[in-house]
Amino acid sequence: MSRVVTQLVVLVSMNPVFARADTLADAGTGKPLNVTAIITFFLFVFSTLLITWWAARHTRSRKEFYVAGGGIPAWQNGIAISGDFMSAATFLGLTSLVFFTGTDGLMLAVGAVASWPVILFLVAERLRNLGRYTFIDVIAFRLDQGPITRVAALGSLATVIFYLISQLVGAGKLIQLLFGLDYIWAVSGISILMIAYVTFGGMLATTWVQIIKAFLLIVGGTIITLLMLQHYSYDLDAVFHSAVLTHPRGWDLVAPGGWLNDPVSVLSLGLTALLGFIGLPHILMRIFTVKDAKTARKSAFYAISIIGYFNLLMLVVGFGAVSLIMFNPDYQSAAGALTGGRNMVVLHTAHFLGGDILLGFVSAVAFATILAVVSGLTISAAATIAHDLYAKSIKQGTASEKSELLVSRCAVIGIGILAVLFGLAFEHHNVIFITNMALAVAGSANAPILLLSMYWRGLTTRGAIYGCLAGLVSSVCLIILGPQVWVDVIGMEKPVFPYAYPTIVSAPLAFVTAWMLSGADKSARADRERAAFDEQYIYSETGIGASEAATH
Amino acid sequence: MELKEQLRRLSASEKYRAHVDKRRRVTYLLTAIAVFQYSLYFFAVAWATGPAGTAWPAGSAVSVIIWLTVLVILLSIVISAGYIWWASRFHDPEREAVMRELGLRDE
Repeated sequence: MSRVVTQLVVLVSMNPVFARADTLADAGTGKPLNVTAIITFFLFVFSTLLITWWAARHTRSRKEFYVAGGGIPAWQNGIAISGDFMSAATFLGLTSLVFFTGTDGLMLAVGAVASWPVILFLVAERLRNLGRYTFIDVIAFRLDQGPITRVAALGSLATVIFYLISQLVGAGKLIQLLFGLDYIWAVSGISILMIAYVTFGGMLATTWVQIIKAFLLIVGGTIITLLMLQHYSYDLDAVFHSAVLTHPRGWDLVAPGGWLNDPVSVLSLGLTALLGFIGLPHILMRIFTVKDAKTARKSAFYAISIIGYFNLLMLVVGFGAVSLIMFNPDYQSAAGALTGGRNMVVLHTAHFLGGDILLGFVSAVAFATILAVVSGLTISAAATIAHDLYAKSIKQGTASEKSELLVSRCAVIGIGILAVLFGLAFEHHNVIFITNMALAVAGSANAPILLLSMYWRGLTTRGAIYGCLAGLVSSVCLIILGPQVWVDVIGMEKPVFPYAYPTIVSAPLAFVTAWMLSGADKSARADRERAAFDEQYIYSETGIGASEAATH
Repeated sequence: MELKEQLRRLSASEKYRAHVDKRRRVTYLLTAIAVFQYSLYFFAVAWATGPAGTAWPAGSAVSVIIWLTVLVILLSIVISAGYIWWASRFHDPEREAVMRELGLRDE
């Protein structure tokens, strides 16, 4: 671990960037260093590695590795969930979307917050009562474990890998810009740290990395918002007025239609956000880190409150940034574009409002955000591979704890290497479609089957398998046939499927397929599965014998 | 007590069924509210672009859709808080009472 730190120190010190400050000259290169960024960055890395070392001493068993022993308090888990949710896409992407398109960008903020009450009311408590480590435990509760686990794992892994690729490519580019590291070193550095956190510290370390990152993110977002309000003399209307007077879209900036112009695309995005967030495996896995359903319920509420607060901050920052930096020559390239790309809105705003100190802090927070989210994704993928595929499906419950843990740790290393390879392969590609694929698969393959398994007596293994596959295959194919891949990546003139988000087709397809094939299933196995629903319902309501139930 | 016996007692209890039904009604109602406000927001963005883009109050630069965004976010937090309060104040104690009555919890 100390080698990792040493390498990072060398890598970062060699580079001029650590942003754009003029505060200190690097003796070696004569180029400026941003001391705040360096200090914040190293404090974060040092403290998280220290936590990993501490967590490693408390991570011996399978339960400790996957879900931190199931003893995380509600407030800690709530902050960690919000940390998992507030990725670089929220921090950098949402503000930039609002900055460029206006109110349409707010749809993502609404989707992120408004999906949480549904998770709280319908999913959180039942999930905690029925499962042990992953949401696949719950889907497989009364169904034929082998086949449904393999198919559901496909949906879960596809979601996590797509999400991981999009985060890593974005992170590599961002760190390249912020800290001046070569792309390959940026991606490799993140992967090394991610492997270290998860392999040694398991869920306990990952949780604390999320907590620290969420705290920094909230502090950073609050400071930027307060400074912005101060700039506008605490007049919120002035924030929006100055934005519409500056932006080329004028008053249209505060009206819908700046991003998605047709109603079907808007509704599909709404459905993608609602179901997609319900089906994210790394978020669902956090619900198992608490002791019971009551604590799961409370932690979901903490998460909603923090995510809601942060998205309101980003609303103000996105609009407020328009008049500060849109035509400010300090933040324009020679071609008139925003320096560093579209996602740099928050960072330029931080520099405008708080100079190099705030820029340095916010840059390091952006890095921490990415690192924490990829760690959460990695442990979720490792649990799916080791617990669902290896222990439950291949070994059919006979795997020893030691061998399962070994497989988990090997999976983490494998995912880290795979992430670097994918990161390099997709370096020069627009990865927006991969992010959409992650959410679309989560909303079309994972969420429908999870909801049906908990609420519909009629669901059978056959229906669940084909429903999950229908959602998975249709969502991926429709994205490939849609404008983001068919036109933007492949270069065809017109898309075969006209909408960027396929969930309006793929999610209903998953539900209908599961319903039809379950209904048509007259086998003895199907009868047994339907009959087991009452028992499952009692477990899900009361939590009695939760662990025994999950190991059935 | 054996898990099977616990299940048998619970499934045979009218009180338990009534207790579970109550939670189901509350969560379905709250889910309907959450989904309704969410749908309202997206329907406004999709089909009511004119009214959604109107400034409110007149003369300001804050449009109806911005207020609606804030409203949906705050309402999501409020209904979640309402559920937490109801569940902690009424549902959990009632469940404990039912479980005790069925001999599934120590007195």
